[in-house]
Amino acid sequence: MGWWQRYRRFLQLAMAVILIITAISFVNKEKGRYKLPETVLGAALGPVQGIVQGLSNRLKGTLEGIAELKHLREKNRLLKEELEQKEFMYSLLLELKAENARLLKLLDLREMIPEFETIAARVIAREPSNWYNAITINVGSRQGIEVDMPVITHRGLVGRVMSVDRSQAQVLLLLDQRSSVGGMIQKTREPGIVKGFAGEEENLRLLYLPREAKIRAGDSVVTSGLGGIFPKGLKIGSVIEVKAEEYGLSQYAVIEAAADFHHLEEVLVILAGEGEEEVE
Amino acid sequence: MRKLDYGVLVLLVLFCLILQSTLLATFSPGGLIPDLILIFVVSTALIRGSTDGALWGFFAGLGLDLISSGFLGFHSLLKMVLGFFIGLLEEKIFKDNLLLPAIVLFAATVIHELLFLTVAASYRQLEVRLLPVLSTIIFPLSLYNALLAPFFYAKLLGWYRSRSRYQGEGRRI
Repeated sequence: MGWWQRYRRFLQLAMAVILIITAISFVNKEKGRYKLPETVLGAALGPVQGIVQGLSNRLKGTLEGIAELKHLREKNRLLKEELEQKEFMYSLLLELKAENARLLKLLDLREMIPEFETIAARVIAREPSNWYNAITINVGSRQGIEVDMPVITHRGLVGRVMSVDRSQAQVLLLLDQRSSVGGMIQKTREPGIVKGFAGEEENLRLLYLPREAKIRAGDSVVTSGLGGIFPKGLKIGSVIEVKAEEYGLSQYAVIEAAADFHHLEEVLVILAGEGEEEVE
Repeated sequence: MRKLDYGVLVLLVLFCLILQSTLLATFSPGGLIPDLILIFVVSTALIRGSTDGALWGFFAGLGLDLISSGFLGFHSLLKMVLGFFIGLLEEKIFKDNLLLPAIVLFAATVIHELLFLTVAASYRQLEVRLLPVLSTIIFPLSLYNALLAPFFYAKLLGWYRSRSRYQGEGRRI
């Protein structure tokens, strides 16, 4: 038959479609219940499918990734740059925050001692030699700094100005062996000399205390105002222990300095004050 | 050596001075500040000999004196003397051995610090008990300097060689 020959393929396709549609409606009549072949096939193929699907997903991801790579790279670069900027800003902020805290403390100190005229200074260099203890600050004769002016932080006395330039000054720290300051035990008013012993273990000592003076660890040591350089009552540190001098004629106290000499960043220079005029 | 080369060396000395008085003085392990100027002077003396050693010792030492709070002249005097004597070794040594600057620097630092203490004590600037500071300052500092020396020396030697080759100087270093 000519038309069968001619349309065989279409008819076969149509029959197949009808069969499948019938099969589908037959199979799905009882939805929700797997039949044996499906179960077996499912059990056999399930794990493999899982793996293959996983791989496919991954492959798809990779392929998409490759396609997006250029875009992502650019984005990554931008984000990294942004992050770096942010990190830089953050560290800057932390630095400013710390500086702010330190300056506030200095400001507090300034308000605590209204009788003194002070000027704030930044530490710009340190003594390059191992035997001396000094710092260089960024104020000088132009700002009214003179030799022998006391230098303090919120913690306590730091030292005194030893040489002045137009725009910077060198400050001799308490620990330096060349430094001597008139000091006394705050409670008992026992006077002595606070001397630096940098290089030795007991690097700050209150010398020439009478043998019978009763001094205990923890006692505060302040400036005595004797000598005319330092005003009276500036905190120097506290006593760690008391030792007898050689030959036992007097005793000395080992002092822990109140100021933190290793972390000096900003200091106050006392320009003038009532205390200074009193002793002069 | 041309004028410009001396300029480079002066810049190097200034750089060392700044580094030593700021960064190295702030981040000092155990409170020790390495003496870059001494390392420079000793290296120069070993590479170029007595005259250069003494001259650079004097000028670089003077620079250190100027930024230090000590008496003017301590460092320039000591470093000039050390530069001169270490320069005497120049013709007797094999310059490519990097252990050499380390050893010389260790010895030079010990001698330098002892002389410094003596001079400073004679001017009543310092008074320390020698035995404790030997173990807490002088030996650790010498070790510190000695460890830094080979790097510094190698760079400086390379630089000096490139200069003399460039200008066809007769003298080999």
